[in-house]
Amino acid sequence: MIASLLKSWTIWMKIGVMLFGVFLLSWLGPDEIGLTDLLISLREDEETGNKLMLAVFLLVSLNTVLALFHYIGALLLGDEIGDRLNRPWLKIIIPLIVIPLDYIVINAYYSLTYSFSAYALLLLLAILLLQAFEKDRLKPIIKTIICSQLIFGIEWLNEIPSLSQYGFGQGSLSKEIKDIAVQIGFEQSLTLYSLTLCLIFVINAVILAVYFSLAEQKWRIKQELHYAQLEAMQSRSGREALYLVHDLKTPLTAIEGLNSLISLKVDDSKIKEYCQKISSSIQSVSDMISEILYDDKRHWCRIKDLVEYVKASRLSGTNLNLKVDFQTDPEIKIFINKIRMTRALVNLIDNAYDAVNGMEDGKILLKIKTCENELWLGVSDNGKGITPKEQEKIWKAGFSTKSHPGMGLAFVRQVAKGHGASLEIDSKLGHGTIIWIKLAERSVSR
Amino acid sequence: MNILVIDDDASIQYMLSEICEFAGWNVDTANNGKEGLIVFAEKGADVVLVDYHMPEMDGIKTVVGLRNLNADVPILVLTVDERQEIADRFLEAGATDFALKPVKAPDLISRIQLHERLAKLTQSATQQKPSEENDVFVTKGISKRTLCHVSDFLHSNREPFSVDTISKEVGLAYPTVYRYIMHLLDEGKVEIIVSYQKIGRPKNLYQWIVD
Repeated sequence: MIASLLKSWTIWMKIGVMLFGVFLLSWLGPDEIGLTDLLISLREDEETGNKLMLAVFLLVSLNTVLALFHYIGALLLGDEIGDRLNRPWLKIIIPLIVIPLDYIVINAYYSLTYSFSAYALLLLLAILLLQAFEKDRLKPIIKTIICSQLIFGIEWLNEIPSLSQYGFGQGSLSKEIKDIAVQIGFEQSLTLYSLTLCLIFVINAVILAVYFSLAEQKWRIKQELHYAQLEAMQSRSGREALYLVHDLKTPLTAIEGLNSLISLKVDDSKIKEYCQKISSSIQSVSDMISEILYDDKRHWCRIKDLVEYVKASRLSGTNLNLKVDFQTDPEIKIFINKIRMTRALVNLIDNAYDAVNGMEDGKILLKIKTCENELWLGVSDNGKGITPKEQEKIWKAGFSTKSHPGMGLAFVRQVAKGHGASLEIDSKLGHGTIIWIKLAERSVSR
Repeated sequence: MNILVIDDDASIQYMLSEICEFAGWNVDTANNGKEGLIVFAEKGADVVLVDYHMPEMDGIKTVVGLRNLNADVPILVLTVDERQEIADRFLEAGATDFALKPVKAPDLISRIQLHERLAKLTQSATQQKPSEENDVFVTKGISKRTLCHVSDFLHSNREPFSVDTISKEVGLAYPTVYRYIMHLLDEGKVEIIVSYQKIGRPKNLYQWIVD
């Protein structure tokens, strides 16, 4: 688990964001944005508040940019690890540990005092509250926007002179600006200015957070409703089909009854033979109906017969050719619901044909092999492949890369589950896809 | 012998009538459960064949109605429904046995004959000592003659059998036999022997406990 975490590029990306935040200090400091010059001129020229306000704004913006990277990095890293390990508490604990750690690293590297002060604590608390409140409903980009506003707002508290005694704004630059403000009698203006901006941005961040998480929640509810509707539709059309199939048994009963009565009434051996043939045909139709109606109906069936049946179901009436690759004995018997398994394979084959549609050298292969007493049935194509992200979704009802509602793979999954079989998808972008249905040992007989 | 066929499908009515007439029995037909009860009340029958899916009154209600009129008449259910729960509900309602559609003429004839024989056996038994026992069994969905039939088989062949085998040997449907075996198990007359096979799940076998 940990190893797979270390392999994930998204995790490294987030750690990268945090490190970038740390090193950013060497490229983007007070000198680079002209803050140092501004402060010098502010000190020497005995100027008015005009330059002071500009200097404060630059300082707060700089601090926000610097802080944003490691806060966001830590937050998203916590999210990702918490999700992957399925331990929601990690989403709070990780930022709580990583962010103070960041401050320690920064202070060890730079002479500039970049203190983990009351402000940092407050910010951490605000972000954690946001984390607890939003419960995964926000996308990373929205989270970044909200966090940047929150940081920008709270940063202003550092510039309020009267808050210094509570541990705000202990950095050298902040201290200097506040001193100057006191000297030139701008203390109250600076307080008002800072407080107003702080309130505007913090309130704005809260409103955004509430708005986006409600919007996201609404979207999710809509999405779930959509899936539920699709599933309801599927089960209803399924039920309709079942009733129809069910009614087929009634005429079949009349045929079988009279047919068997004929063979009782006549002595002609040929007619008896015909009746026998009719009877066995009726029996197989009846078995098929049972298999369609009851998904727990199973019979031992030779792989050869299954393949023939798949070919007949898939290819009758078309001139398509399906290649079969037997890597095992076609006489092996498997315990399956032949009708349903056939429909599942035909679904996979249809998907494979769609994947190579329009390709000149498109190849579809039905592969059958044994692997440690399991029997694997696979359908492969050499189409463009499925991305890992799509692979997670394709089994869901309603997902489709085509225009029709995707029911096919949801059905395949249902059949596999009914047979106690597992499904595996192996897809390489640009090389093609193979989907395996792996029948467990107990359903295979040699 | 008089057979009453209750089925809403004309072609099946015709087919069942032809088979019964071939076997030399008289047939009355009814299109649904309601009609069936009226015909049975007027004319009576030695064996009743009942369909499951019918308009007006379905098979289960019909069986209950028939049992109210007569506690002993063998009621054979003909159904396309293979679900065990449906079979259970029928037995609960008082049906004697099942046949799954499509059914072949010789099978149906021998099944009807079996129930006729069983009915005669218990008739003579109950005439000797008319007890309340019978009614108790009927309400629980267990009829005494079928119970005797199943337990006689196990009693005289002291080996373990699967429900499948017993069902074939005694000529009753699988759900019927299963239910009676469960009853005998509750009564402590029969024990389970688990048989592990080469393939598939282990199978339960049932054996009469030597007393």
